[in-house]
Amino acid sequence: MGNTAAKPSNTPSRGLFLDRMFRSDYDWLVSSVRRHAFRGSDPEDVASETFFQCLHLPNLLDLRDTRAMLVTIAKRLMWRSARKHEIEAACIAEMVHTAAHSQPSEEDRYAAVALLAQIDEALESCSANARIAFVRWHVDGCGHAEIAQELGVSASMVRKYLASTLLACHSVIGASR
Amino acid sequence: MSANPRGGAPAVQPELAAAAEWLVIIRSGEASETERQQFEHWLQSSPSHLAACRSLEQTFLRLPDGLSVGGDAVRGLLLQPNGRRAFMRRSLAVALTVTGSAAWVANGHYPLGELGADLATATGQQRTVELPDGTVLRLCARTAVDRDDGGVRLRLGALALDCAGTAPQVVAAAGARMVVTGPGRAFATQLESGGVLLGVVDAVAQVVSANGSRQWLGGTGAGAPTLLEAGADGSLSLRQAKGGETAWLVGMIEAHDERLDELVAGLRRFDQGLILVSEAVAGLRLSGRYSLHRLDDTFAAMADTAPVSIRRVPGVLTLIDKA
Repeated sequence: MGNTAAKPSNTPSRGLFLDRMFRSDYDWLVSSVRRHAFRGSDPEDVASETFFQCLHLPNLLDLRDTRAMLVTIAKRLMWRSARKHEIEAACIAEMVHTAAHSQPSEEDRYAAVALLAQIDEALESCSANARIAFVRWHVDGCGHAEIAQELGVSASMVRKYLASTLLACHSVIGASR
Repeated sequence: MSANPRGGAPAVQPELAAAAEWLVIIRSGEASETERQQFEHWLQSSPSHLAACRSLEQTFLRLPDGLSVGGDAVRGLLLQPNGRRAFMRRSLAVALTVTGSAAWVANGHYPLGELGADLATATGQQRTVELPDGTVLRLCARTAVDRDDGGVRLRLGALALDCAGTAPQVVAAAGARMVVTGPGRAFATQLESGGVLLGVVDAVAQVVSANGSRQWLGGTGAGAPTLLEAGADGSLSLRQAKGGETAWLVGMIEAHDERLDELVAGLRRFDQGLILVSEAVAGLRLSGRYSLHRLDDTFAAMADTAPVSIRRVPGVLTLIDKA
């Protein structure tokens, strides 16, 4: 969890509120997710993770429409899960291509793919230009001026883009460290 | 999962935001002298600045592990996170050189495009691989190598081959090709000029340049390598061995009356932080043996033996300037 996020106090009333929500909405959520489920997301896992994330909502007790909130969180989780599969598939394809030459251990590969999924998650919150700047700098090794020209913005804007992507990565990767 | 499931961005600490902007500037290798001074001043003006910088550096340095895993497919994925926007542009050319500022020579950051190579090493990492013919291939830090039918292709960095007796070949920058015909050690190091330094210790090799020039290289047997520089223009010229060419194999770097900036260029592969050398001391001549794996000791030794002052924040920044 991000160290900058406000820590909600888990008072008994929050516990009661969640308990009530769990009883009234859990089965409904599982069946809603099941209707939309696609490869890679187990409905019960998504529902459990959704409730787990609710634990950390600062304004939990003010929620009127709990189901709308649950659906929003669940959709986001399903999207991330689908993205992770997409990334895993791309990585596996790439590894098959190079497998004859280099054989990193299973653990290393797992860690690398998980890290890549985190980077992807972080970039999701960034603008399209910021993502392009990120890839051009970190992956292609282009200079700031070159990226600026490509995007039609100033070099200082490129620096702002890159700083925003670094902060985004830090909030996701740093939090899991 | 992110800390805030509602998707609203949590407030970022101001020092973290400032550190991110500084890191991007300093790691670009394009920082001006004024910016460098401002950064150092900022870094030292509060312990929280240093802490923010270190913490962000940890994230920054982890990115290559994730970005190198999926090759080109991943570039496309990251550019189209929502599958909406078709980003057609694909770069084939990879910029390898980092532009240095006028007065400071920086290592910037290590471009990851090369990590799509068959074999690659990160900063401070070395790797040994046995080829099917029994030849042992050693990769220096920040090195990228592709496997070829007859041997290996050096894309970036430095490699050494301990040949088993068959004839592997090394294809290097500028189209130069080295075919090793006898058992023994041969090596290749990419030069900043775009050329490549090829050498044999006790092997025999033939080098053919891009424009067809040929040169035989024979080891002296005395342990000192025979060296040849293949220029980016296709030229071949014999070079005098200085003695430190293969020192990285034993974790040491050796300097014999070598320019400080050239010596530091050899250390950069082993330090995760940024090393800046001021132009005022870049031309100083140094001699000595320095450890590649205990860089704190190495810089301390330099400061003891040369008229330089070294300010070092390990893992973040090392500044080498006039004493």
